[in-house]
Amino acid sequence: MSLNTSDNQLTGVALACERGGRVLFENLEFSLHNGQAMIIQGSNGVGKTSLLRIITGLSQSTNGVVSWNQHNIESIAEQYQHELLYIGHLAAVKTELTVRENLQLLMRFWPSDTNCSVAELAEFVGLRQRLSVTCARLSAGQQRRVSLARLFISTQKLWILDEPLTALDVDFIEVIENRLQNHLKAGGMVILTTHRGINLGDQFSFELNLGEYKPH
Amino acid sequence: MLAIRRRRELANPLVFFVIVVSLFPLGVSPDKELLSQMAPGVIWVTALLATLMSMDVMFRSDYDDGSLEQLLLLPGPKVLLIGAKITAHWASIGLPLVVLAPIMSLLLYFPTHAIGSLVVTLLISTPILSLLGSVGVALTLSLRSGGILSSLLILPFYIPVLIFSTMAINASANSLPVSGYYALLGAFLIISALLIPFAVVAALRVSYN
Repeated sequence: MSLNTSDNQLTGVALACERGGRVLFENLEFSLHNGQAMIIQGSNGVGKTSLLRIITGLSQSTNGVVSWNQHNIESIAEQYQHELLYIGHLAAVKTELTVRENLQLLMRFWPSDTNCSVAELAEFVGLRQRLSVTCARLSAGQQRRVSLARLFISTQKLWILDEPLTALDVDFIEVIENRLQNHLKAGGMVILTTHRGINLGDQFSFELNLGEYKPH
Repeated sequence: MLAIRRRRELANPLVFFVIVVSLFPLGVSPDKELLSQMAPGVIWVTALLATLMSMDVMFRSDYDDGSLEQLLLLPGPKVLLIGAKITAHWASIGLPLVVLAPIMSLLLYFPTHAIGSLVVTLLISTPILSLLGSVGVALTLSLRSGGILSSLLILPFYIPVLIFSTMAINASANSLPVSGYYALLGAFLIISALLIPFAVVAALRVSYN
């Protein structure tokens, strides 16, 4: 098993997805290497989220295989999940808990950089002043920030982000873009969907237009 | 671990339990003979319904806010996580019911020498109820009106537990040996505790597909 070597590869071969009797896409192929970002584009309902969920292993594709370093992700689910960070369009923030408790949960449950304290983490996402506020009282953008806090302690290589920039303000979008660039520079991989375009600086990225894989 | 969560919803089933049990003497008859005969059944059926009511809490909010998918992506054995969630559910519903039941049983002239067996059967059976219920809930998560469907799915499986528990209490009220019933319920508990977390993980995968 070569998961810890620096050279990683994520590939999708002949992926197809059917939802509610309708084929969303088929014969989809991609290959992603260290330091690369894949930006998935397409109009609403074209299957972006379905594709991301297939890549994470949460749902199964109707056809085709996703492989991590040539191993089917289903057969190495345990190791794959060590390398995988997925943030869906649901924030996964517990609204009954305070910001502090939510951040503590993130740090406890996920393989993370333990040098970082909760206060520092809150500083990163600009919520230092709001640590003891319950998340139900935060705005959508602030809740988003709480869930994106994982990016700042992540030790995973592959980041899969579903519309990460939704509801964020301009300043924080820049923070996230910087974070993504640093991750790519360090040899990480990013897959994301976005409607608004994202600036990844001079890091290598390519676009995958899902509309092209729609059957006629 | 996962029960670090404050919920007012959790109080609802317990309040339901207290109210329904206390309505029986008012609604049926305050007759001591009749009530004490009905008591095991009433308490048990109410406890069962209260548990059923609370089942949706187990995964619903996690499903809605996306934490459940994160849970499934956590590296490490999912079965343990799910087991922890079911245990947390039992600790917040089943355990309070076990504590409340003897108190409420006084309202129904419950035969005092059988209270011990009431507590024991509840103690063994409420985890079984939580376990069985979790499968139904996990299977119906992705459906919009899953609550009713999962109740219909779960209820038939609750019936054997109900039958053996009330039989045990009746036996003990009539000073008959009860260890056979306990052993049977215990066997139910062990088997379901060992197998059901696996079923729940599989059911959740189905729900997410």
